[in-house]
Amino acid sequence: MGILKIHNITKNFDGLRALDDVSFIVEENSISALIGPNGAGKTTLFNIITGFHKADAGAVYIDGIAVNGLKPYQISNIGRGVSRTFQELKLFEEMSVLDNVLVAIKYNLGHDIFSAFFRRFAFKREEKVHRKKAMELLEYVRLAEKAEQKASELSYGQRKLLEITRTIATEGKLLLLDEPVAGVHPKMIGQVIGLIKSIRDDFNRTIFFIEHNMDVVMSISENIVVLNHGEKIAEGPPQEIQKNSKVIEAYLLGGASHAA
Amino acid sequence: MLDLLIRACLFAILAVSLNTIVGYTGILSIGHAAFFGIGAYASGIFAVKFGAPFWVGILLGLSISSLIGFIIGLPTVRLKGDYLLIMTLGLCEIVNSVITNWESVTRGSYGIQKIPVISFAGVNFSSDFSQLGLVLGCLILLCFLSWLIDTSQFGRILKAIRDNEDAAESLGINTMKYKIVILIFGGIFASLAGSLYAHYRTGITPSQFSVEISIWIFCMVILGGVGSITGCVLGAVLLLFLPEGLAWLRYTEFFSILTSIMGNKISYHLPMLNQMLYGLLLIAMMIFRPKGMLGKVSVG
Repeated sequence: MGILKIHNITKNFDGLRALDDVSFIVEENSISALIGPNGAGKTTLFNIITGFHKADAGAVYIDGIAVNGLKPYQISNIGRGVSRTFQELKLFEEMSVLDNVLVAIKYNLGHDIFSAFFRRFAFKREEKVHRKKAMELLEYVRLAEKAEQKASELSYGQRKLLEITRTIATEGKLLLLDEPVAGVHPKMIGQVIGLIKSIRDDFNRTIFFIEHNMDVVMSISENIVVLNHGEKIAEGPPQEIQKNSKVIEAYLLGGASHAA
Repeated sequence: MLDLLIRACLFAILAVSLNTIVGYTGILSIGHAAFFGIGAYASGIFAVKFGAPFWVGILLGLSISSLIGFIIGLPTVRLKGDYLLIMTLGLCEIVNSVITNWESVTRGSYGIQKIPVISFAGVNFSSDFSQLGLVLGCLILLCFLSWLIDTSQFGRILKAIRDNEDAAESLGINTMKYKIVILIFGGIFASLAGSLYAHYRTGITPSQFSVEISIWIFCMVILGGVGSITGCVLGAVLLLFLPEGLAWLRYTEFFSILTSIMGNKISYHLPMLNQMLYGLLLIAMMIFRPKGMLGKVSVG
């Protein structure tokens, strides 16, 4: 049944149809991509899945549970968990790299104000374990030496990596990555691609990502969903999508309208 | 001098408690004097009108402040930055209007006088020394709790909300809950400061809890250092001692030189000099140390 099911989702913004009756399924443990020209509704769909926007019609199921009307934090904890990155990078800028990861780790105890006052020692014990885990994650993405630096001091590519690390730290099984390599230095793109693959294999996660870089999309995705003007125009493995006339047309026309 | 120290401690309580709201959580608030006023009036009214023991007034102040903290916490989900600032300003104005105009209870602009000093278990806190001990004790308690928050996962989550609320939500954090909790926490301590203030001064009037006072507390936090406990204490002490220092100027050689240049009228303008110096200090701060003296983050 898939870890994520999009069922007849429609969304309008002031009369403009952003998403029109979109349906598809993301299979568990897959790496799937969501592509389409600018303004196709990709990020809007991500926002609907994670609860930042409400759909006008249709339903989103995560682990078989309908998440319509839930708040972002509730959706994040639904089923086996969902986590996302943002196109415009949303880090905790004033906090250290390590703290950015530690915020995302789920504490069994010690995250309300009373435990801050009364469960200090239990918290310190738990914190030790989590710190180790966070450092391991940072080593995994090669950011360990930057652990004590402020997030705002990292390079753009490192910041992207940190945001992805944060999603791993939540333990959520479904990771939604919004343009993971956009703006990343070409030399670092290979590292990010490798990371996405290994996250799936090493951490057993499902990855669903939006990306404009077609080399990246074609090289790592197993399934691709194509949106254009809010409609799903194609879905399938990379080889099929590359040959699909509708997709080629959409991109060419999209390109033409941009040139004009 | 003792009186000044006591007031410095009281305002340090206000600044440190506001810091948990502004510095840790990033909720810009210039409504802190509202909680201060609620505490002071709850204590004043109950002690004078009903002759109730001091803790009744304190507890009542804390309860009302908690309730208000909860209520203003609800819209903070949608309100951000400047809008939040305006809302908290509104809160302060509302509380001030109520205590100014609800004359049958608060005696309007006459205020409440003859509030008894706190006496507890046979100890009468009538001397300035004992008062200082009391407020200093409360300040130390608040600083300790504040430090516990700062170094816990709870505090880490607050700072995450401050830095990026959407990201915090996306990681499964119920940001509204955390904001409400910290608004209540900050409100409770401001209210406590109000109660202590009322019992110490034995007389209170609405003007002592106006928006200007709110802004003043806000300045202490900004000046001392957003996010830093010691910075906020320092900010409070500095802003309280500054006018005294200026008053002391009157007796110095410098002042006689000033009068010889500018004429006798200068004494009338001394309070204005105060305001100018605040302004200058803040501008200088913004240019040279935007994070305040000991601050960790810049807000806004």
